[in-house]
Amino acid sequence: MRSTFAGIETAYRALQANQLALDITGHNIANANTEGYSRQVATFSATAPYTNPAFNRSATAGQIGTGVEVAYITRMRDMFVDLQIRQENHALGRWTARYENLHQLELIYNEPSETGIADALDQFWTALQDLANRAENTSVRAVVQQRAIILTDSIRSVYEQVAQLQRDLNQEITTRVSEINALANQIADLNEQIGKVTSLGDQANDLMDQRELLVEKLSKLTNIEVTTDNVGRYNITISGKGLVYGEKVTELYLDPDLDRQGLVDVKWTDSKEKVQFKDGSVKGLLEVRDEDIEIYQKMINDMASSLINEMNAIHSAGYGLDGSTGIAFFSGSDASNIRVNNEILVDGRRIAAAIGDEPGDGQNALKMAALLKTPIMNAGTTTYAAYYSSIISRLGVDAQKATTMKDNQEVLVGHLKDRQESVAGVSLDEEMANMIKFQHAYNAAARILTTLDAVLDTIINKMAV
Amino acid sequence: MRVTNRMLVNGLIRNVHSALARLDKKYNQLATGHEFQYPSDDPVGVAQVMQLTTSIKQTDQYIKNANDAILWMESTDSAMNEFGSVLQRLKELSIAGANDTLPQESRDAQADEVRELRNHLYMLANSEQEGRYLFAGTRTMNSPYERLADGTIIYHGNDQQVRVELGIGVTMDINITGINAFGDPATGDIFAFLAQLEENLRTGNVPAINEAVGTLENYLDNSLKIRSELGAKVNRMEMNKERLETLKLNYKKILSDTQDIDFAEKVMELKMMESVQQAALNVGARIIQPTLIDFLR
Repeated sequence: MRSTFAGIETAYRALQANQLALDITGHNIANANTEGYSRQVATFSATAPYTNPAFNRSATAGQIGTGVEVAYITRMRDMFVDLQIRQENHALGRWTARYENLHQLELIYNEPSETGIADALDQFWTALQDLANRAENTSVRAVVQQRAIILTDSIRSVYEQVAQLQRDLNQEITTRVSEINALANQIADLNEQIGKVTSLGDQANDLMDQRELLVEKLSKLTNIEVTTDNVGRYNITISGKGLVYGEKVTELYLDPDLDRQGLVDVKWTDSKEKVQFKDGSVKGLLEVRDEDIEIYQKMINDMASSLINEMNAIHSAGYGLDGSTGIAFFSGSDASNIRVNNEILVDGRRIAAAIGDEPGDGQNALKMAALLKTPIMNAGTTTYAAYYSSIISRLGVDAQKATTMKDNQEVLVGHLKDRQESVAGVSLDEEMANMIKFQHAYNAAARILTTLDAVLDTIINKMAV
Repeated sequence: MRVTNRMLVNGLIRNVHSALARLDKKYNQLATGHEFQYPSDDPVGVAQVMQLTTSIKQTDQYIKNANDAILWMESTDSAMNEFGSVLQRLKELSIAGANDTLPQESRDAQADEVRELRNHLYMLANSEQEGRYLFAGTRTMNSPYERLADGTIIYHGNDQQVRVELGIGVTMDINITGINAFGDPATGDIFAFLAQLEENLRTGNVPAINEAVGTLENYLDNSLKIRSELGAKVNRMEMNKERLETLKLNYKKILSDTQDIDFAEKVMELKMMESVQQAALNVGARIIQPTLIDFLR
């Protein structure tokens, strides 16, 4: 026999379960726009049924239901998509960093334009040609001075701006590394809380959402591998070296690079070894700082030092209007310090346009002009202008690749996020429908209780004994 | 697939962004008139544009060089032309002066004329072009011929060539030195010769005057030879200039083909993109539609 009051308990359970489901619906709606939030679903389950005690098979029909409970609150999330998002985020971070900084380089070189080095080279050549035609003319000499100043200023300015970009990148790497450390610490904190909750047999849904968001951010900064331990804590490694292990964090630190003034290396605090970044924005930044910029600096340096040496060799063999000879045209040794020799700036007559000591002789100016059209770079196969334009082409190809890769990764990550959103996102329509569902169920359960009340009233109060 | 409101909104934002980005690029292309702004837009195209820009500037300079050289040579030519006329007159005077029957007074008058012609030649030999002396070799800054107090005229120029570049590695000598045109001062140039002729006329040295006719003819031949050389060089310069002008035109055409936009095409594309953008916004207005909430009372 079943208890007279069993129905009240069943109805009460239904009220409780549906109220909890309404609470969850409310939580979902409240977090409809929360970044990283996964919708939660109340999973109803019938409570353990009551079996009629009997010596033999009972006379009544089988087991009697005892109502409902919310067995667990499920976090709707596709873990596989999370993994994919992390992986694609690595590349997105790397190519975004490359794109932004290579584009910055493009802006620095400022080609094709009327104000770049290419134009300055052309103008300088033109001025030398004019000088060859009118070697005795002091105003033509003044033009040569000015054009040479523009050329050297543009080269130095490009070099200095690229060096500045390198320093900025160094600064950004510093910021990103502290970001990695901060994220790692937050993840470890969450790991601790999640571990406690999980060991009690509960699911730490909202904490896991927060942690996933942090891991996603971290995955954009660096390549990471994530494994989960038996209490749901994440262990995170960078190229096999542990960053977060449960509640512990091995931080990264910045060590000044001894070979390169002002630049830093990223190292592990425990082993003092360099961190092997394979992907992510830090990798992108390091690549641009240590590889791309070095190449472009070297190319412009090679060009500048060759120009200084070759031009000086020709110039010092010639004669100025005042009979001076043996004077260098440029001072300095590379792109960082190329300048027009001060002796020439002081007196334009010292520009050695002549081969012999005659005012109308522009043969040496012709030689200097010819130098700019002679293949010298790349072991005598490329002119300065062609060499410079090959720098620009290379930069263009690099930047183009970065742009394409970044765009591709953005589409890919966007698509993956859509997929995750499809599983984890809150649909207001759905929540509304659920709300009505739970509301009706609640109302119906209350109605059962009222009916039971009426039934008991009949039994207890109205039946005459 | 389960679709949520946020997915719709995110998709809308993405689409509107990419439509805007494409519009921005088109606006830039239309505003600048160029296909690309940065090397990464078209690395090959940018390299080509840089190369062509350099080539055009180079061609411009060579045209300028040619114009300079033509002007210089034409000035030289006109000086040489006048020199020829002077020589003709001198020849006439010498032939007349070599006549035994001529009274000495006439020879004196001829001697006076020779003196004037010599002065005129002195002026011609110091011709200049924009402050540069034509017959000074490469000592172009100072007048090449100087008349001393005793009337002798000495040469300060040299025998160096003024050279102009016509194209990469191709040069042309454009000047005629005083030595070429008026004789070597070391062995006696025209000024020394004319001083002697004047002297001979005054003293009535008929055989010497007779000999002078031959010398003058040599000078005349030489001046004609120089003028025909100059003419040939000017011709070559003109042809070179024409070739450069054509080349420049070609370069400019290729440059325009490479970097300039087809305006009509771009405007059409812009219009299309604008309608895409409008459509995206329109879709947005629909996405932000009533949800179930609006119908629950």
